[in-house]
Amino acid sequence: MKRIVPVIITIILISLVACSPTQVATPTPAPTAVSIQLSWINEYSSSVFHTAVRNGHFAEQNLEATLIEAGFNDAGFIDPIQAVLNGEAEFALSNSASLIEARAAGQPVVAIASVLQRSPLAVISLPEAGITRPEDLAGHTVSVADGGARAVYETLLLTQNIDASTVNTVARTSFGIEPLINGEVDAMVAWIINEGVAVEEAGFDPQFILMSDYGVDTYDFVVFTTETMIAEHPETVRGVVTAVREGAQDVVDNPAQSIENTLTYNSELVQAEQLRRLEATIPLMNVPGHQLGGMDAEVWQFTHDFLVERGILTEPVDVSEVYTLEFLPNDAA
Amino acid sequence: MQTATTTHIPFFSRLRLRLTALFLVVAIIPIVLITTIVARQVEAQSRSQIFNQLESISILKSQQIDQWLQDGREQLALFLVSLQHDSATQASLFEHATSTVRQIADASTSIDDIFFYNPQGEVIFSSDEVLVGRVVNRQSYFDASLVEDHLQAPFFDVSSGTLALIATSPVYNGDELIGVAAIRYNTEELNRIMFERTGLGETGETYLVSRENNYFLTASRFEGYTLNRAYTSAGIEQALGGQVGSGLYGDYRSPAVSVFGNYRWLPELESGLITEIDEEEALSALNQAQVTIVILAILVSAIVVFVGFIVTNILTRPISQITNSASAIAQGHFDQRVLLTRSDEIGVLATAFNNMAQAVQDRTLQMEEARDEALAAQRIARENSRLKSEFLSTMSHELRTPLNAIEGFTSIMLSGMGIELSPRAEDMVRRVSMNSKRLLQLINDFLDLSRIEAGRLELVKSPVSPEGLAHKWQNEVSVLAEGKGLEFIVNIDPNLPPIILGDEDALSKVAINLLGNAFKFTQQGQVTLELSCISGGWKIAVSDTGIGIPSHAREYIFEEFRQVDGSSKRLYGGTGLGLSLVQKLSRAMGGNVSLQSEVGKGSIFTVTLPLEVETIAQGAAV
Amino acid sequence: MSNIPPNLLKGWDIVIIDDEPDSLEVARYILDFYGANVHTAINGREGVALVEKVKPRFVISDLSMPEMDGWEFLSALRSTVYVQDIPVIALTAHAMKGDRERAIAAGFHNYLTKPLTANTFMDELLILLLDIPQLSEYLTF
Repeated sequence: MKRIVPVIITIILISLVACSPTQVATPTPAPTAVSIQLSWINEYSSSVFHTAVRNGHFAEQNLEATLIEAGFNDAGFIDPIQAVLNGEAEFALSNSASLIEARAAGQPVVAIASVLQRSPLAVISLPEAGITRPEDLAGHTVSVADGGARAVYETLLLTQNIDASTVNTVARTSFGIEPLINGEVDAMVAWIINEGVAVEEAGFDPQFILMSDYGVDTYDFVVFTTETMIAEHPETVRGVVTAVREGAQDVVDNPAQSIENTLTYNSELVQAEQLRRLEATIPLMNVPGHQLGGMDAEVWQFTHDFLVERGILTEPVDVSEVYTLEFLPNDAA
Repeated sequence: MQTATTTHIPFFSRLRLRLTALFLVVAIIPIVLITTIVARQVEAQSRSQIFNQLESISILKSQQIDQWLQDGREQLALFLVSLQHDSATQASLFEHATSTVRQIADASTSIDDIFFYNPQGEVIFSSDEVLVGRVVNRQSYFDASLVEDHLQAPFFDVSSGTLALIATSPVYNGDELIGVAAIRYNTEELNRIMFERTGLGETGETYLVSRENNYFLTASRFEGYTLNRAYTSAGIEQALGGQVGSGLYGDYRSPAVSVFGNYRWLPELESGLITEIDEEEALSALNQAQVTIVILAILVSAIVVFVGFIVTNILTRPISQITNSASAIAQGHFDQRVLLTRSDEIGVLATAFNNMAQAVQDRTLQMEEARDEALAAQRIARENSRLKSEFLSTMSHELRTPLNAIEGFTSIMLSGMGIELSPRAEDMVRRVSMNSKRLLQLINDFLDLSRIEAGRLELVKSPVSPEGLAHKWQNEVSVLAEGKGLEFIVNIDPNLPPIILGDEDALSKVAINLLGNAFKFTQQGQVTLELSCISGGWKIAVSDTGIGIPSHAREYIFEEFRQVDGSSKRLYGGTGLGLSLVQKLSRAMGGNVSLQSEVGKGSIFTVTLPLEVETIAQGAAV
Repeated sequence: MSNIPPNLLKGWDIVIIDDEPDSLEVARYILDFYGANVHTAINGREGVALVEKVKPRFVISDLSMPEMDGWEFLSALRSTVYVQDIPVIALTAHAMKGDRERAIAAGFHNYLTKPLTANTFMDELLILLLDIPQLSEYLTF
């Protein structure tokens, strides 16, 4: 008989606890939905975003982020800037050159964070070509993709005082490394973190001339949004930047886990290849003396300047309007 | 006396077990104590030794790193000196410098390259041709390098894919900053220093962890732990927190392995230098030693037990032998002896035991002989007794038969049954009859006495009625009373139980004898028979008013054939055996007879007897 | 001597068995005095033959006799059909406890103790005879 009383009390207490609704704090508002238009397919390069979503960093900011894959659709190459301007996404990824051009065209885009602190663009060649320095390019065939890459490449030649006519520059049409491997070209301008790794995977020991080693540095992976977004929803913008930075930190701490997250977005990827590329990316993301997601004025300025010199930009613009550091923790670079 | 068979000793009381256990305890306790103390000390020492070793390795590594860094600095200084040496023009200066730096770089193992860049970050000359033309203004060390001597913490150089450690020193021409001299350390050398694992066994390692993201700057010894990953452990945290020390903690691996670790903050490299070794390996020697000690202890115990068994055998076996012999002797095998030839106390015991056994055997033999003799004597005695009984019975029968015949014929003659006797003849026949009666009585008394003497009188205890007895006796002797004109009074105590236990024949013999005497020796007056209760029994008292018995006669009156006057003459008839019989029968019945008398007044013969009643309910005699 | 008519046992055939001639004679004389036809035997065997021949009214038999004692005589008698009902009185010199019971248990009608004297024999015998129904009717006073 005596046993029953404590049992009854326990049952009552448990039921009280169980039945009481979780109304401890003030009710939180529903999460804000944001769409982020990636600049390429779901792979290592967008692992930061995969990780930010999967590891709950967006949720912590009360954001529900939808990542929109880029690449090609029926209409053709997906342009992230267009997507944002069309309102298909609030945020997107692009590069410093494109953003300056857009800005020059009057499009109200603003960069809020840069995932890569240094450009991964490099001249990749095989050892037998003997291209260790920019001046070795003379007399060789180099493939480079049209557009931003070409512009950067020409800037390199310029700053290194190399006569462009001494170099047989061809357009890079395929995404693969076959032309380099089978000797069609002596060098190719590509990403050290992607094609560079691919060449190593093919069993070669590639030579790199990293653009940024020669003072040619751009931001190739930048998160941007619209002026309107910044003006009207600064908290959301801040939340996105914070989530992306935290995602980046997770990638730095544990790249293997980040690739796992990426695989959940694209299960056709080869885990080992993706991990190698992501690990190669980390030193460009996490540069000593720079914060994750940070941006330097010099880089923006340089980008702007060489666009002008290349004639891509007809009129100079105020570079400081193209980006903002206000959502980054310290206003330092 | 119990004749025990070989007693079973409870196992734990056995001497052998106890002594062996004692040996074991006496041997083991000190061993255990010593080994425990020693083991503790050894363990403590081992641990401190391990920590000391780790510390010295750590210090050594740190010194090697310092040396390496210092060497690089010296090279840089050397380079700077060479620059100032010839500062004619910048161009020639730079030309000259290239070969210098090449020489320096080639000569030193601490540095890979020396290069010089202008304040804009353009590399002007370098020991490695590749570097010339590069722009380093985006490098992490650039800003600081323009201001002062700077050592940049190790960072991952993207283009070379390796760890880079840069030390810089600004170069002035007067007050003007003309550029920065920089060296790139040979980080392979750093790896070599870290990977040198003498004194660290199979699981020990040293590595550097950068404060930047907890990245390993030098590789882990173990598979699966790469450089571009953040790792942490108690040691790493301590080191990156600027601490120097040692500890036992779980390391960076998953699952964490317990390691002895020394952690050291290297401020110049902004990294932690960690020196670790798996606890298991470090203590393996100790564990081995402990295992060895345990094995030894077990061995020693086994030896002690074995020795103990053997030694205690020396004691227990002879004891068992003696015990077995003793048991055998107890069971009657008197010829058992203990065969021991020892000169110690056990031997003495065995000899004494054998002597005792011999004495027992001899004594037993003697006793057996004596017993046999006694038995024979007893048998003879019993036979004699039996013969005597038979004799008595036969005598009794033989004596009575002719007397019966005499009695028969004389009674016929005296009865007048067809036989006429002259008065004189009748008188003579009467005398014959009287004598024969007397002879018969004498024979009966004699035979009774004989039987009592021989101890062959068997008294029965059957229920008798005192009143009935009294009446029977009254009837038997009343004739005597009438003949003499005496009064015969019978008193029976009403307190007497109606039925008592007794031998009717014996009681009757006693009473009749006494009454007969009473009537015989009383001429006038009365004879009183009284049966009454007394404390502890009852009594038969026969009193008369007869001639009495003088006091001197009371001594011998109960003797056979004695009469008052001491003579054997029978003036008053009687057998002379009567009172003797009364006394003997009274005593045989557990009582006695006593006499009170006064000459001329009378006598009272009192027979006191124990009173026994039927023990149906009570069980005990009253 | 009591008031027993001398012809009390007239015409009675009585057998006495005793190995002692004197004892036999005393008993014979007394019984004869009272008118009985007394036949004697000196042992059980003779006694059996005698009883079969004479068919007395009763028998007095000594117990201890050579050749066939009183007990054997009794059992021999009781196993012979036409003499088995003849009462037998035992005669014994010793009168010990239990003897009476034993005798009666064996089949004797009672017993008398020796010595047989003129004074007591007949009185005692009469008492016993009166106790035997088949004989007491013959007793006329």
